Amino acid sequence: MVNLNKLQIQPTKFITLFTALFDWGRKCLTLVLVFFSGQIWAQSDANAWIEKMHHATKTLNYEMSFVIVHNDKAEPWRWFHGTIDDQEREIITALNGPGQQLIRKGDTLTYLQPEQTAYSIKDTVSHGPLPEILRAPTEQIEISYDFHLMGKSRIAGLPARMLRVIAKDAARYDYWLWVHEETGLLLKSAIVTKDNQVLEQLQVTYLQVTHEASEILHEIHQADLPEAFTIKNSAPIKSVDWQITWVPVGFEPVKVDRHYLFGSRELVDYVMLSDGVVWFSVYLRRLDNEEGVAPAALSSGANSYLTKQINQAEVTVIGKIPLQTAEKLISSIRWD
Amino acid sequence: MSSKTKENLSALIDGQPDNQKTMEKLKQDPKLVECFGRYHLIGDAMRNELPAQLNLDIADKIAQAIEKEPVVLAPNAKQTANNESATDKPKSGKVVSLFRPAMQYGLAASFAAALVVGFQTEEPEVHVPQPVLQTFPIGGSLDPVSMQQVEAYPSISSNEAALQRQRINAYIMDHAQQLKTRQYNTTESLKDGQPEQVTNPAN
Repeated sequence: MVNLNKLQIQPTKFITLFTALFDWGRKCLTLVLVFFSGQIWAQSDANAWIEKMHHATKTLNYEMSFVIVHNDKAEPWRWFHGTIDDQEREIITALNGPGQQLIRKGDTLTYLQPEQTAYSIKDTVSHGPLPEILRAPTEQIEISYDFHLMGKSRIAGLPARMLRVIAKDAARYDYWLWVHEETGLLLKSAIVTKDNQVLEQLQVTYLQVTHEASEILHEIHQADLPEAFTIKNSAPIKSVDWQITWVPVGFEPVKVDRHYLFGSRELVDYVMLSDGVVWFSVYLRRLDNEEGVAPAALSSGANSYLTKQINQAEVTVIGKIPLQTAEKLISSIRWD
Repeated sequence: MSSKTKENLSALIDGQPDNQKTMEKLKQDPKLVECFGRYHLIGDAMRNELPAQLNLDIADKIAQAIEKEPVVLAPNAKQTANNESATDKPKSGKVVSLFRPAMQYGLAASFAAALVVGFQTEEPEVHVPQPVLQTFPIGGSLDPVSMQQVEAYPSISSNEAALQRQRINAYIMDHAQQLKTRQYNTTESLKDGQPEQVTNPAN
């Protein structure tokens, strides 16, 4: 028989136990509160750093040298940036190989490239060696990524803060950013897989922030640049009979059309998808009855290239997304 | 200078067939040249053929004489180049900025002429399976040459390879072109006419 007396708790003891429990609980609660507020604080702090980086990138006068590293390649670039008469100007030049140059004058971008006529476009997202995250609106990035403020380190001889921009799902890559503690300018960045494998890196080797914009940026004004044209967003096509039934959360179609493939006579249905940080292309080319396509997958740095035959069509996905995402997207294509 | 070399040199002066090595060494080593002169002098003295007045720094004299000789076969390229740049410099006045856009444009155009664009070949037999070299993208992020085969996929057979590579190039070039003409606020404008075929299920 169980002695019931033993189970009885004497009132005094009960009170002690209760207070002890209460005390412990209160401690826990405080700890949890401290922990959470710390988290929130760190989060908003990281946001502030991202904002600082965006602002610095767009407004300061600076000259930088940096190297892009991907696969077994290292490409050196020089970047001049400044504001003249309230207008943003920059020149980004490839230092190796044939001259490649990107010139910004306000919202007009000029591309100077080998084997292509120079051209200027208005109001577009620049396509150069710099990661788009450098200019993407924070609210847009926040939809698909979390910000984490990490420790301090020394990059390019300067004190830096490390920020991790972590994708909320495995469908896209993470970004690691190191920004200059004082100015907020980017000193290093990396595109990283979920297994922390670095695919592409940008490393600044020289940075000089100046009071006045560089003389070279004044020269842009005198330079005879091609006249800028405005891209009219291609009209969405309605008469297609296929659909993508899965795209990673946060990705939206930003361009949909049907055009001739660059430099060829092949007509393709085209969809560009973006989450504001990453842009990738989906192509669908109809095949003749006897034509077959062998699947092919290639990768370069963070870029993936995947071609597969789906019914009587060749579907191709290109962009800075994991191959698995491309595969899943391609296999989700359906016909009405 | 080893005693072996000296021995060889002595043998050479005494008219024994040279193994060519000694000659080479003689050309490079000024000390050996001095030695060569001395050995001849000794030889001359032994044969009693010394002139009334001795001029011991004969090797130097010869070297100077050679330098004054007009060069017949190979002009000193380095020196010519130096002379040219020296005369050019004052003319240009100001160092041309490496980053001046117009200059770069000219450079780019001249490079273009030298490049072969794979997919533009019109000949019936395609002999350029080589991907386009040094093309776009600015940013170098996606360059057909740098693409690597993913192992999980079978490599393309040589028959189709040429055609497929051309197409891969075309897609990559097109993608780069599309990236240059993308806009930030397109989602808004697309929303009204959201195409039917692209659905984004809330998952």
